[in-house]
Amino acid sequence: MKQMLEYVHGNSLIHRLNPLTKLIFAVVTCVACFIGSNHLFLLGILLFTIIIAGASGILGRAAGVYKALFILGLFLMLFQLLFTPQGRILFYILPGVPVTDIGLGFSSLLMLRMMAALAPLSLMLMLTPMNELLTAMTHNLKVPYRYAFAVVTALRFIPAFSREMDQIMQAQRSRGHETDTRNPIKKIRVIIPMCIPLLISSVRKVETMAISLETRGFCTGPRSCRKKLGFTLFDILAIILVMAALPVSIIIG
Amino acid sequence: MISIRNLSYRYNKKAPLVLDNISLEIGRGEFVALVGQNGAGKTTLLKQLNGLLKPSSGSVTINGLDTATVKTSELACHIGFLFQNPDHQIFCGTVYDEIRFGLVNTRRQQELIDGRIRRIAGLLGLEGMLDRNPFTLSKGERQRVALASVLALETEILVLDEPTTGQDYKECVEIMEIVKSLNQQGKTIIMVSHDMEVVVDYCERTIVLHNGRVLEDDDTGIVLRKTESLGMAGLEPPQIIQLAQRFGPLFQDVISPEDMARAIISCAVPGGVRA
Ligand SMILES: Nc1ncnc2c1ncn2[C@@H]1O[C@H](COP(=O)(O)OP(=O)(O)OP(=O)(O)O)[C@@H](O)[C@H]1O
Ligand SMILES: [Mg+2]
Repeated sequence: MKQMLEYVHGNSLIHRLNPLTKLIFAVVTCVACFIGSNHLFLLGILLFTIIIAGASGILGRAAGVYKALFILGLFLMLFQLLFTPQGRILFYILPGVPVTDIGLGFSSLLMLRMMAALAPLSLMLMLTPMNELLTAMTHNLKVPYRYAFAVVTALRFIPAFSREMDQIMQAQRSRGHETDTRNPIKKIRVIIPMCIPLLISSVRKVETMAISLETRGFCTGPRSCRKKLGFTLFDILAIILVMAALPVSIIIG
Repeated sequence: MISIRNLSYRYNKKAPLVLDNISLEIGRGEFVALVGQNGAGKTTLLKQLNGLLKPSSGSVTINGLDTATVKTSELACHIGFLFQNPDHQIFCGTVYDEIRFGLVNTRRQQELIDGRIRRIAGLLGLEGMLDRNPFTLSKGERQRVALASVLALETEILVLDEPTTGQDYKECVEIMEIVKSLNQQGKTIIMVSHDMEVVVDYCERTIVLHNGRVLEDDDTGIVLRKTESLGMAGLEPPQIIQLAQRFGPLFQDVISPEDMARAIISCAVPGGVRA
């Protein structure tokens, strides 16, 4: 869970793409996943994201993301299976709980869609430094800085949040609280009481950050940016390639 | 009691070694200082002791338990751990709950808990703050809350990552006196400190860590006179020792103001000290 959505430093061709290209990639593939309802198409997109992760040399870190998505997807699929009684009965998971062909098809589609739609988003976050994303949003998309900053900060809080959680778990563990158990049910039971301290400490952090922003002149004048972000030929090719996913998804339906 | 064999550690596969082939034995009742410059790996080494971090290679055993296989929450009965940053340690809504947290986990008798909490709070000057939210306390007060929450467990071994930073002089001495009395009751203390004065006053043994290796490991008096090693690790001996070194070989055993006085008198009065 830790550092799952955090930027992983690198210097691959994909790292050097314009952040806007990566943003387009994430949004377009995500949208395409919801338009296209075809197992193979979704699988294709998933495979494509894995290739991208491999090409940018972050496959190791991305593997954690895929694993988490897979587990989440599995739960989703299981629930869907249990509650879809229509169609031809294939077999029974539990006495009285049938698995049908429609149920299986639909639930696996849901799982694939969830994985294929979220993988590009998390890849984008892992491949783009936050400040570049911020620049792309304000300079190229003309999003007002205040709002762009809010979005980026929210994203940045996710890994910070999980680190905070890790920190608290370490503290609890070292005082005999069993947060290091392997039993998943027990684990959930010990993690729930943590939510409140976590929430409180993050609200405090936000407060501190707001003050820190004020004292450093947040939004007091026009901003300059250090790095000019240009589009290269490779960017244009990448955008065309990604955009192609849209018509394909519509054709496949 | 604590036995570290050929311990190496890196935070991840590509990162450099933070701990490099460390071997140490620490016996029951020792009072050990761990010193070294920022980033030397002190905190990393301490976290190995209660299994918060597991060795990349080598082994760490605490009372015969191998930290690689035993859970930290089980080791908590043997080893108390004070985090370097109190904010990493404190998560409860009141000081009282914070001190209580570990006591409940280690399954003490319920009736005794309240008394224990109040006694520990008294010891650390927190009795007036038991109902306060720790986050509204000052940094020094929070540090003492964190310490109280660790001391409450009354473990045989105490691992303290900079227990006195952020304390004023009076509090610093009070905390160290508490730790010293615990040591006199037979508890093993391992503490990190950047304050050489504290080290020389309280710790019997000093380990100097530099770039993840043990540079020196000996009696505090001996280690603190090794100016060269200390310099390499970015440290300076306490002023009293620096002064003694300038006075020459007659003063070589001086590590405290009392020693200094005695040495000066024995120089000034031929025939030595008269009571
Ligand atoms: N979670 C982590 N992930 C990766 N590297 C880390 C992590 N924590 C510490 N390090 C690195 O390990 C090295 C040793 O850190 P450590 O915290 O043990 O130093 P220290 O001796 O306690 O320093 P200080 O005196 O500042 O507390 C440092 O170079 C640090 O950058
Ligand atoms: Mg440290």
